[in-house]
Amino acid sequence: MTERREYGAVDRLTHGLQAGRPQADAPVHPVQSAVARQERLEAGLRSDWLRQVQGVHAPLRLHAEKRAASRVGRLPFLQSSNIMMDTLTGRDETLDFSDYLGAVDASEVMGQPHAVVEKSLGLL
Amino acid sequence: MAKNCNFLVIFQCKHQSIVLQLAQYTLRKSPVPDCNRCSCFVRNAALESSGMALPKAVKTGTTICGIVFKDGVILGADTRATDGSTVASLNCQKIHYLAPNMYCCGAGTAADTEQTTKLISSNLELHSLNTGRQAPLSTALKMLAQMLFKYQGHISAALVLGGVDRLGPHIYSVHPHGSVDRLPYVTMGSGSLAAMAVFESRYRPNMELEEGKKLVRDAIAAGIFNDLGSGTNVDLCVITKDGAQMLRPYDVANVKGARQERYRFKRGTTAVLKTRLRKFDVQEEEVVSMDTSEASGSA
Repeated sequence: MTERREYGAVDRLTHGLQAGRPQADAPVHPVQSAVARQERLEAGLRSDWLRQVQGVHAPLRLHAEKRAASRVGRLPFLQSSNIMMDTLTGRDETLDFSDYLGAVDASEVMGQPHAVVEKSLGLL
Repeated sequence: MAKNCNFLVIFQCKHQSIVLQLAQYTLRKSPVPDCNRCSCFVRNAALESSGMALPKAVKTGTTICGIVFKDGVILGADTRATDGSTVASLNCQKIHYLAPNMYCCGAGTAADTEQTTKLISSNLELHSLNTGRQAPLSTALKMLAQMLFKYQGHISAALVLGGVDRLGPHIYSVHPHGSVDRLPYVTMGSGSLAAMAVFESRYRPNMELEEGKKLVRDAIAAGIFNDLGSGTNVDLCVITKDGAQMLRPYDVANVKGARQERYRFKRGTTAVLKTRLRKFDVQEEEVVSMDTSEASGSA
């Protein structure tokens, strides 16, 4: 957290021009951070279990594969289905709320259409 | 009218607001569009602080319970769903299907219990297809408890899970924050104390089927008649190693009184003073529409 001065101002010279502004990916609900933390912990538990059962090479190899899967070389306006990542983490075999809720095209709030399209195409 | 529209949008939003926003923020999603900055939660909070009363979620102020008897388990539930102090549904179903050998009663916010049990039911099916065998009760229990703990109690679902697997019949209670209890008899919901009073005085281990059904019926009836949040009918679900049997309704405890007579007025009660007959000449106009668009037929 950047230090705030009088009237809530922030030292932009040190922290950059976007400092102090509400971030795009800032958590808006306490459950958001709880869920993210839980998923991190669960991934760590699985990794520890794998190390104890199969040896230290197993989590290292898996981690390397996941790192490769996350570096998808697509163009800015082409979205990836993340199939390799889902297969490695096991998400292709389970169902979650995000599988049937939260589809962006079914959102009940409408942003400014031009801005939304430009943002999703990466032009903005 | 604008205010009415806002109300409808927020109402629809509030029910799903927690899981909907979380679904939008999961790692799977790539670029999050700008409209999510003004997300439902932020807007709801702003409206609430400006003095607007937000609608309440439909809760199942409920009595649910379960017992272990000689051959299996019996789950019971009432059928009233409340929206604040209004009865939203007279005959809602609170015993949800999880697997052919497992059922789950749900108390708390109706949408949360419904969505949670449906999700876990789907995950159980996938799990049993993957492993090639029927999932034991502890699998469902772990899935439920871990999910509820992950959401830190914001998913308001208090569940009674019951079923028969290869290890025998079991009853578990799951609280909204993710704690579990394995007991021979459990009750949950706003009428849980009334139902538990019945269980504590009359439960014995290894009861017969009819005795067990009567006990569960009486426990739910205690909740129906002594708790304002529970009402109408008693639903039962009997699960043995041969399968599950849903008895819905098992007992219609609150029958609406039938009218004894016809309470209409007899013809001639109001005296007729004058009669005048007028004939109307009715002319009808029939409009036949012609398709005059450019694309019709040949020009």
